[in-house]
Amino acid sequence: MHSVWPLVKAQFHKSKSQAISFFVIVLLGAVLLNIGLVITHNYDRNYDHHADRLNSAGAILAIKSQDEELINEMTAAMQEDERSIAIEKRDILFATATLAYGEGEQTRNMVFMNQQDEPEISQIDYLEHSADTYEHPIYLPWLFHTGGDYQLGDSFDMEIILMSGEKRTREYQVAGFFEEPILGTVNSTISGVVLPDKEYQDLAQSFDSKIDGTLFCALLKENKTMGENFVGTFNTFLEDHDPTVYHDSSFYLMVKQARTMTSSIGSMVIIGFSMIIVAVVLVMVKFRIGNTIEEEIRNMGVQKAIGYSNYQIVSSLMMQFLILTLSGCLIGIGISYLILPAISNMFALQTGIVWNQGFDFFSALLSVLGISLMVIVTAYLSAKKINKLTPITAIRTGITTHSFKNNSFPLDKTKGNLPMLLAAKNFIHQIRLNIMIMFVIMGVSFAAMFAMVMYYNISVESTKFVEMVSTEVPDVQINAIDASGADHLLAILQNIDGVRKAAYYDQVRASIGNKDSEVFCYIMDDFSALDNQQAVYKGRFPKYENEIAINGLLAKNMSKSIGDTVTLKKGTAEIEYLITGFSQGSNYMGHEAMLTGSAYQQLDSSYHSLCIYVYLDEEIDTAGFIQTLDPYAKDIAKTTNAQLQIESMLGVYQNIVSIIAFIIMLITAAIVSIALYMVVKTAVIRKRQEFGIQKAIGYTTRQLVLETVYTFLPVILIGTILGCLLGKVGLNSMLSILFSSIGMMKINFAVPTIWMLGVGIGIFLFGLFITVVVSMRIRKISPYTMLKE
Amino acid sequence: MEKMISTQKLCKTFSSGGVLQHILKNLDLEIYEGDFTVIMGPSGAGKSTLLYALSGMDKPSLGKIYFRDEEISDYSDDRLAVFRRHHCGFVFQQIYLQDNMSVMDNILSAGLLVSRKKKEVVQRAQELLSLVAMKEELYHKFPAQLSGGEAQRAGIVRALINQPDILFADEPTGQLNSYASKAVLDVLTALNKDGQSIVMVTHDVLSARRANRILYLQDGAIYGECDLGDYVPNDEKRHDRLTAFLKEMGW
Repeated sequence: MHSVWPLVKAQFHKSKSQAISFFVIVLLGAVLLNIGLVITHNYDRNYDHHADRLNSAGAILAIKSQDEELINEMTAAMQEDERSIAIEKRDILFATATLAYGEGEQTRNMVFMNQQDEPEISQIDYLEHSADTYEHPIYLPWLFHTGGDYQLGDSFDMEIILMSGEKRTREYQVAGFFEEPILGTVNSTISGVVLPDKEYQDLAQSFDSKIDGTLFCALLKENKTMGENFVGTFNTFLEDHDPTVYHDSSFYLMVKQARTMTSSIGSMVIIGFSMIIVAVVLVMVKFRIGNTIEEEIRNMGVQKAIGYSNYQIVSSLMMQFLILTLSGCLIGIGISYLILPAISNMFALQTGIVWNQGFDFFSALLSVLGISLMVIVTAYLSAKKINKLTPITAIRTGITTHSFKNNSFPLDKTKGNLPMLLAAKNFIHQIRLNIMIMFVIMGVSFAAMFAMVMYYNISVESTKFVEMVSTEVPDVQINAIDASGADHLLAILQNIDGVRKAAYYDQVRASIGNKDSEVFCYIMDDFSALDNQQAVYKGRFPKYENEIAINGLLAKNMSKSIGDTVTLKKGTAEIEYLITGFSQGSNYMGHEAMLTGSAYQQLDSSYHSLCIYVYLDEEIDTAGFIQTLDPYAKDIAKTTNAQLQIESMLGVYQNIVSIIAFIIMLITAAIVSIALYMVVKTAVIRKRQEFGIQKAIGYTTRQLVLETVYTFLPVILIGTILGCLLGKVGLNSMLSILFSSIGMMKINFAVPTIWMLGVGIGIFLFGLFITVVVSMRIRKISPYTMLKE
Repeated sequence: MEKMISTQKLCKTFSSGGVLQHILKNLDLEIYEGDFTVIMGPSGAGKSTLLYALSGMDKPSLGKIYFRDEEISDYSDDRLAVFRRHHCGFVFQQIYLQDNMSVMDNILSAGLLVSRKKKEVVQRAQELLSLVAMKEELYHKFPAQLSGGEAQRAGIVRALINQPDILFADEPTGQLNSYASKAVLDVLTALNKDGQSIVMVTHDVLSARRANRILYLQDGAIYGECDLGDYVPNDEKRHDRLTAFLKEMGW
């Protein structure tokens, strides 16, 4: 080893700036790879760990009833169920509430818990507690702080609505934040807040109608996976025993998947991007070693002549990369832990999960071993060709070797101006280098396109994203109190000026398949009235009463194809439907189906839709329109400004995507800079004698810089174009694979040409700028100095 | 004869490891049109430094250089490059053809710098190549495929392609065998006979005999000068005069 060390030192000494460039790119790759792996390996486990600490329920069921007989029957049934370990029931207040959240507002089923309760199952962990006293204190989920931007002491207003249509606006002050694995979220239909006993009693007494309810928390044998079937069983139980009781349920796996969705996708994106950087690293290794062999071939011949073995020379070539890779990885891993808190905060916008990650040996080891192994293999494959060289061949060959294959672009026969023709010659002469640069630029252009497409479709023109996530978004959603009221309202709404269309569009729960899996059924008489005709991405919407469309992810999990049948259950009723198409949407993690009203009535003959989707003309102000509905208040249980609800959801995603897009663009710029700096500088150094000759015979610095820029211009241009086109053609397929795990099966994001051109032109001009700046080194080359060398 | 290049108190100093080395010291000299001037002197005398200073390849540390009464020593690097392409041709000891270009491309890469009339430049290149007795099949060969003499003749054509006012040659036969050296010197002599001004640095007495004027440089200053008159092959008297001069200079 010590015999190789002088050779390694010499190589370091000769190419310090290139070694630094390589080190920086390895470091970037290691930072991202380690962050991605740490998140993948730990974020889910961290959630489970919190859940275990708080003895989280595997399933919860909230019902708006304190009917002792029903409660006792349910409790007994749950306790007897072989899937349960323990059941805990709590008195709660249960209503629908509309509240400001992020940039918009949310309307959701809200469980009001009494602070006096000290539950055993699904305990409340207070993370922040205000030292001040407030007139009407309330405790909110931690997510309301990270994603909803609430601070201690902020006012928190809620409009609380009962199914009877009775409403109260309550004004609270935020006294603290808590963590609770299932209710501490806005990612499912049901959320929870905690009130001190006085506020709890005040709220209970402020309504004429009943607001009190019961919360069942079930600790299950397979707590983290069996919740779905458990709630399916007891939703059915409840509907059998008293179908009039309003209820909602949630289970651990769904909430966990929803709350860790951003981190799962985020970590995949980060790992994907780190792989692009690692690919750049490998291309650089290949280029650097090839270049070193070409430049140092005479020295290597001499080394062989004086007795160095092939193994020693190959080792010396590999050693510098191994040293740089190991040090880059180790420092990168260190830096990644400085960045992780910021990443954790970014994810917390959507997840509301406290994540304080310690050192993860597994991820660190995988990052170091993964990158180092790839570098070593690439370095060995690139360096081993010197094994075949005899010392005398190496000594005689030197850098002036020329293949004499073709005199490309002969100046006497090719048309064009001189700098361009000379650049064309150089281009062919360094074709391998150019291909390498092209791949690097292509990779980062693709990554930049990814960032642009995500940013554009979530932050700028979010219609498609919203449709993919939420299936269908009206302007206003109106829930009627009863069937006759609903029909009356629909008739009126269809004739109000400014209403583009109004139709029943309902969501009901049912069970699907043999395992009591819960499915949310979207019910509409005529799906051709939907704005989002892409909601079914394969096949067609259901038309007849024996037809159903199910989410593609659900179909995949159930191994169902179009044309197969699937059984829906509601209470004791079971109906088999024919699958006509696959839908997509990330609500309920893909547990979705679509069927017509008459099809659903086969399952539940008493069903009548109570939910109306209202679509307004473009010029109509939604908030103003909602006010005009006051005369019909007696029929309305709840009115939701759906656009505001979407805005509140989007705000969080927009923040996350903006940060990710910014980071990707920053790293893209760094890679373009470093890669071009390295190759252009190498090219200038290698050609310094030629430049010296050219200067001696009368070329100006400007002409030589131009010649160099023209040499690299085609590869930057082609790399950028290919990267952007690959993005245009392949991004939606890639995103479909990425998002299919949450039910978004066929991503159809817009890739606006103008934005694509903007990204392409931006990268191209930036690359050109770096090339010009680095080429300016030619200014320092003096013909006289060259002649003295 | 008309003065082409002149210097006034030309100094060139290099710093090496913090130590200043004065290579040219207050040098005043004149180069005349149509002359074949040879600069001789012992190693380290500053011959090449003087050649490259006169040709605008390097800038003096002090003093002035004039080309036909126009001061070029204060030109910028790029202006000097433009000056060189229009007025100077260079022949180097190491030849310095660009190894990734054919002979013809090496010549045209210089020729097309000055003229955009490609046909004319190509035609002139062919004439010059034929003048230096370069075989046509070598026109599209790469430098590494040529012998030293062939490469140097290609180098001379590159130097002449823009019809320079003056040709600078730095030890043009230094790497050639005697046969190739003679061929190169014959070319230079013929060119000079046709009016081409030449300044050549050499160690070689045989090469020096081709000149009509010898400048002997020692310790950064012109130590002596000898007028040999027009070159006549096998003129023993001329040869004796040169030998005597060099002997006097301590050669």
